[in-house]
Amino acid sequence: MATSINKNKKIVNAIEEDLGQLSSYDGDVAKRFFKFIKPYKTKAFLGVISVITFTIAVLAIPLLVKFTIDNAISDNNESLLNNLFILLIGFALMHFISNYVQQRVIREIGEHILFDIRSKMFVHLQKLSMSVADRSKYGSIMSRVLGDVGALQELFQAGVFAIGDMLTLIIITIIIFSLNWSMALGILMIMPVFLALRIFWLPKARKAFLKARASSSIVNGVLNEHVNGVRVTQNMIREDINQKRFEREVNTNFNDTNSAAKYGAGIHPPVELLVGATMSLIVVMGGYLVSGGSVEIGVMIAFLLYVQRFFDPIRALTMHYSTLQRAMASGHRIFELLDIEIDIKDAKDAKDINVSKGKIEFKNVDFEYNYNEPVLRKLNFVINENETVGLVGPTGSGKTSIASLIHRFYEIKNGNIFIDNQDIQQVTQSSLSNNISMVLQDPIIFSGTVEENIKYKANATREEVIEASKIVGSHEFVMTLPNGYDTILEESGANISVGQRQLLSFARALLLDSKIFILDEATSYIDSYTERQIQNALERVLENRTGIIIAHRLSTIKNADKIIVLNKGEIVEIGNHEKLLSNKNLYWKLWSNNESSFDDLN
Amino acid sequence: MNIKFKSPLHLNSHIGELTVLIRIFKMCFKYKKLITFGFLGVGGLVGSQLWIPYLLGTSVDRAYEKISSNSTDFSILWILASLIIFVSVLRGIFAFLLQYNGEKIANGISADLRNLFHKKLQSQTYKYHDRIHTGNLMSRGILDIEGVKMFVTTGLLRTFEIMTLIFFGSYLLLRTDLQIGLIAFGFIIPVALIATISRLRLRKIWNRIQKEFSILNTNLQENLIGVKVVRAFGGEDYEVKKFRSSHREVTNDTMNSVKVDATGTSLVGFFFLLVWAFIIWVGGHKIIDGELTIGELTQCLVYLGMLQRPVRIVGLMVNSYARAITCGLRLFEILDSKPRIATIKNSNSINKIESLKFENVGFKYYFKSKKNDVNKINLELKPGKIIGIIGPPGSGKSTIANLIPRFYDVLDGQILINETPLKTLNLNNLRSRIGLVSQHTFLFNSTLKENIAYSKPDSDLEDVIRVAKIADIHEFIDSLPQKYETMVGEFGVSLSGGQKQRLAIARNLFKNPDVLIFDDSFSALDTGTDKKIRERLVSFQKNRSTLIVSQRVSTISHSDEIIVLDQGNIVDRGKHKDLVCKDGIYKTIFELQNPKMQVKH
Repeated sequence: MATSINKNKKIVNAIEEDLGQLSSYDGDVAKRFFKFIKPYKTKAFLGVISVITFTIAVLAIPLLVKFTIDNAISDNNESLLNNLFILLIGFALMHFISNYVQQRVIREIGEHILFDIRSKMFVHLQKLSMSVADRSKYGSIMSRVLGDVGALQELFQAGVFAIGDMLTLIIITIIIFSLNWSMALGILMIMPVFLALRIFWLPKARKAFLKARASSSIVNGVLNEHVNGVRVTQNMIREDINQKRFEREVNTNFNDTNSAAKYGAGIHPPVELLVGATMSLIVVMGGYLVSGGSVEIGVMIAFLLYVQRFFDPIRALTMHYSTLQRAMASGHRIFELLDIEIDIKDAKDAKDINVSKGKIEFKNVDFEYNYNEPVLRKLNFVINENETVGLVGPTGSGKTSIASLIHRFYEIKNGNIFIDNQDIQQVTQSSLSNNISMVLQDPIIFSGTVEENIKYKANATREEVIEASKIVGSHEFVMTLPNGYDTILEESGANISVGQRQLLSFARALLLDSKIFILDEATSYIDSYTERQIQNALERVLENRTGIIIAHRLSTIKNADKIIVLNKGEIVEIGNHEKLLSNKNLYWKLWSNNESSFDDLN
Repeated sequence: MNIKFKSPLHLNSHIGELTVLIRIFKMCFKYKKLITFGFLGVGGLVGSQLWIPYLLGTSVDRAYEKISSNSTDFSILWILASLIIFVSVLRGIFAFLLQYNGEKIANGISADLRNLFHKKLQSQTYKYHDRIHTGNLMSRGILDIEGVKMFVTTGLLRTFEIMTLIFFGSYLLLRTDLQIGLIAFGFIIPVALIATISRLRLRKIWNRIQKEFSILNTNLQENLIGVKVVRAFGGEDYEVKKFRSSHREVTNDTMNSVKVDATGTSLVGFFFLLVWAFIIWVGGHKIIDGELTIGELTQCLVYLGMLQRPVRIVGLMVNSYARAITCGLRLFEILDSKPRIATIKNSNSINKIESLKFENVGFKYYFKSKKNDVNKINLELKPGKIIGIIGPPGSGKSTIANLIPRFYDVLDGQILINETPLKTLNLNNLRSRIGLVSQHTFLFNSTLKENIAYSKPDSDLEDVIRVAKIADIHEFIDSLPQKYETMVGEFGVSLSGGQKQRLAIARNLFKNPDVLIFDDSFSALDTGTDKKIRERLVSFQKNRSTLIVSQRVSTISHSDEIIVLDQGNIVDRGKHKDLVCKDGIYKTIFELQNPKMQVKH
C-alpha cells in the first residue's frame, strides 16, 4: 500500500516537475540571455536576413505559378513562359542558398552560445567555495549545466525561426488579400478554428506525453534498481516477485503510452477536416468567381498552393510558445547559479605565498559552517617546521575543519591563520594550493590513465611519476595492471580497490612536492595492510616536511611528534603519545580501553 | 584499452542482420488485430490521399470551363467540394488508424522486450553481472529497446505506406502525363539518394557526438564529485581547460552534423523546386499546344507536393533499419544468453542443512587466470558451530562465502550439503536455506520494512521487529517518525554505512536460514556494536551453522575454528588462543589492530 502511494506521488511529482519547467516570459531573463548573443551580432543578423530571404523565396513561388498560368499560358505567350521558367530556377537557387545559410548560421550560433554559457557556468563553479559546491547538490548542478543550457539554446533557434513563421503568416495574408479579398476572408475564418483546436489540444496532449514519459522513467528506474540489486534478489530468491512488480510498471507505462498515442494520432481527423474544408471553400468560391470572370484561374491555383503553407506556421508557432516557456524556467535556473556570489576571493593586493619552512599557526580562530553553530572556538596552536602532528577527536570535534581552513576552503569567522608568518587571507589562493599537499578521505579517481591520475595537473615526467608511486608503495600493484601506468581507470576507479585508489591519491599529493603535507582521514576506509603500507611511506615522505595527520584510529598517529586532542571545537590536550598517556585524560581513556577509535567511547 | 576483461558482448553478431529484422517482424505479427487495423489505415490513407490531387485538378478544369460555357449550373463544384471534404475526413481517419495502431504495436513490443530483458537479467549469474557493467546493461535496456521501438513505429507500417504512396503516386503522375511524370522521377531518385546518404552520414556523426557527450558528462560529474581534490591541488584552470576541450569536441561534431544536415535538406528543397519549374515550363508549353489542361497541370503539381514528404522520409526509413539492426543485435545477444547456473533436472530438495562440507574446492573468476583464486579448500560446518575466516585483502575470503549459495560454481573439488553435491540441489531451495550478508549492502528504494522482509513481502511487522532487534537497528528505526514505513534509498532517509550493514544483517536473519554467512559485514560497525550484535546472535545461532569472514580479529576471535587464508590457500587454522601465539599472518593482523597489546609484548 505504502509503496503504491509513494509511486503515485512520484509520478505526480515527475509530471509537475515537467510542467513546472514552464514559466511565462520574463524580460530580465531575456535581456541577460541577449548578452550572450551579442558577440555573434553580425552572424545573427546574417541569419535573420537569410530567414527572411528564405521566406520570400518560399512564398514567391505560388505567386510565380499564378503569373505563369494567367499571363503566359492563358495568353499563349511562349517567350514569357521561357523567361518565367528561368526566373523560377532563379528562385529555386535563392531558396537553396538561403535555406543552407539559415540552417547553418542559426544552428552554429546556437552551438556557440551553448558553449559560452556552459563555459561560463563551469568557470563560475570552480570559483565558488566548498560550501556552495556541496556534492549533495551535484545532480541539480549537472542538469543546469547540461539540460537547462540546452533549453536556452533551443529558445534562440526557435526565436529566429519564429521570425520566419510570423513573416510567412503576414506575407501570405497580404498576398491572398491582394489576390482576392473575399476568398482570403473565407480562409481567414477557418484559421481561428485551427488555432483554437491547437490551443485546446496541445496542453492535453502534452500532459499525456509527460505522463507516459514519467511512467517510462519509473520503469527504467525499477530496471536499474533491479539490475543493481540483482545479487540481493538472487540471495533472497525474489526473482519472481520482482518480475511481477516490473511487469506491473511496464503495463502502466504501456497504457500511458497508448493514451499518449491516442492524443498524438487523434489530431489527424479534425485537422484533415479543416484542411479539406479550406480547399473546398476555395473550390466553390473560386469556381463561382472564376466563371464569373472576376478572378483569373491562376489565382484559384495560387490559393490552393498557399493553403498548405498557412497551417504549418501556426502549428510551429504554438510549439515555439512552449519552447519559450520552458526556456524561461531554464534561464531562471541558469542565472540563479551564475548569480551565486563568489565568497572567497583573493585580497586586492594579494601576493603569492612563500613557504620555505612550513610553520603553521592558528591564532584565536573561530569558525562555523552555519550561522551560530560554532565548529571551532578560539583555537590557538603552532605547528613547527618539519613537525608531524596528529589531530584526533571524536566525530564533530572539528579536526577535518582545521585541514580545510589551512587550505582556505572556507573563510574563518575570527582570528588568523599564518603559514610561515604570512596571513593566508592576504595571499593568492592559487599559490596557497601549490604549497599544500592533501590526501583526502575519499580517494577521487578521474577517468584516464594511472599516470594521468598521479600527475593530475603537474608537468611531471614518467620517471617522476614512477618514483612517487614507488615511495607510496603503489608501484607494485600498478605493474600488475594490464597496461601498467597506461592502464585506463574506469569511472571513479571502479576497477581498483579503495586501498589502491588511496595509494594513487597519495602519490598524486606527493608529486605536488610541497612543504606542507596533510592527510585528512586518509586511512579510515583502508584495511590494516594498506594502512601499514601508508604508514611506512609516510615516514619517508614527512622527513623534510611539515605533516598534519587527521585520524580517528590511534594506531595511525601514535608516532607523531605532537598529538592534538580535540573535542567539540576545543583543544583538550596537546603532547606526544607518552605525555598524553601520563595525562590520564581523554586520550589515555581511549588507549587503555583498547578501542580503536574515539567514536567507540559512548 | 579496458582493463576489465573484455565484455562477452562484442558485436560479433551471433545471428545475421536479416535474422534480427525477421525476429522483430515476428514479434510484431503477434499483434494480429493491431497489424490488420494498421494495414487498413495504410491502404485507406494512400487511397484517399491520391484522390485529392485529382479532385483539385478537376475542380480547376470545371471552373475554367465555366468561363467559356457561361453556364449557371454550379452543382458540379458543390459535388467536388463535398467530395474533397469527404476524402479529407477519410484521410484523417485512416491516418489516425495507421499512427495509433502503429504506435500501439511499438508500445507492445517495447513492453515485451522490457519484460524479457528484465527476466533474463534477474536470472543471469553473478559472473555475468561482474563482467558487464550496469551502465552497459542499462543503455541496452533503455536505448536499444527505444531503438527497436522507433523502428516499429516508423519503420514497419510507414515503410509500406511510403512505398505504396510513391508507387501509386508515380503511376498516377505518369498516367496524367508521361513526360511530366518522367521529369518527376528526376526529382524522386536524386532526392531519395541524397536523403539516404545524408541520414547515414548523420547517424555516424550522432553516434560520435553521443560518445563525446558522455565524456563531457563524466568530466563535469568528476569535477563536481572531486571538488575537494580540484581545490586542494589548485586545479581550477586545469579543469576549465579539460572541460572546454572536451566540449569543443562535442561542438565541432555538432557543427559537422549541421553542415551535413543543412546540405542535405537544402539540396532536397532545391531539387524539388527545380522539378516544379520544369513541370510548369513543359506543362505550360503543352497547354499552349492544347495537349494538357490547366487542371491537369495543377493535378501534377499537387501530386509532386504530395510525393515530397515520402521521398524525403526514405532517408529516415533506411536510418531506422540500420539502427534497428544494431540495437536488435545488442538486445538479442542478451536475450539469447543462457544462465550458466540453474537447477538441473531431477534435482533434490532439503528441509534443513545438517552439514556443509568443502572437499578440495578450487575456483577462479576468470577462466584465463593462470592460477586459482582459491585452492584446495577443505572445511566442515555443522549446526551450532562457528567458523571464522581471516586474511589479507584479495586472499579469497569472500570467494569461499559466495560458493556456498552457488553464486559461483566451483571449478575443482566439490561442496556437499547433507552429503549430497551442491549442484544436484534445487537452486531456490538451496538459497532459501542460506543467509549470506554480503560486503556491500544494497538497499532498494522502498520502506525499511520492505527492505528487511525482502525475501517475503507482506510479512507481519512483529517478525521484522524481532530480527531488527537482533541486528541492533530496531531502536534507530523506532526513533524515526514513520518508523518501519520510512523510505530508504534515493528518495528516502540517508543511512550510515553501519546502519546499512545492520539492515543487511536483519534482512538475512529474516530468511530464517540454516547457514548464516557474514561476508565482512561488520566492517562499518564500530567495535562496540559489533560486539553487541554478536552477543545477541548467540541464541539465534544455536541450531544454525555460521561462517564469519572478516578483516577484524575481534569479530572472529570467538569462533570454534579460525581459517587463515593467504593468496587463496589455507595457511593456518585453529583457535584464537593458539593462532595468536604463533608467528604468522594472524599474529601480525592482531598486533596491527591492537597497538596496546603490541606494547605489552
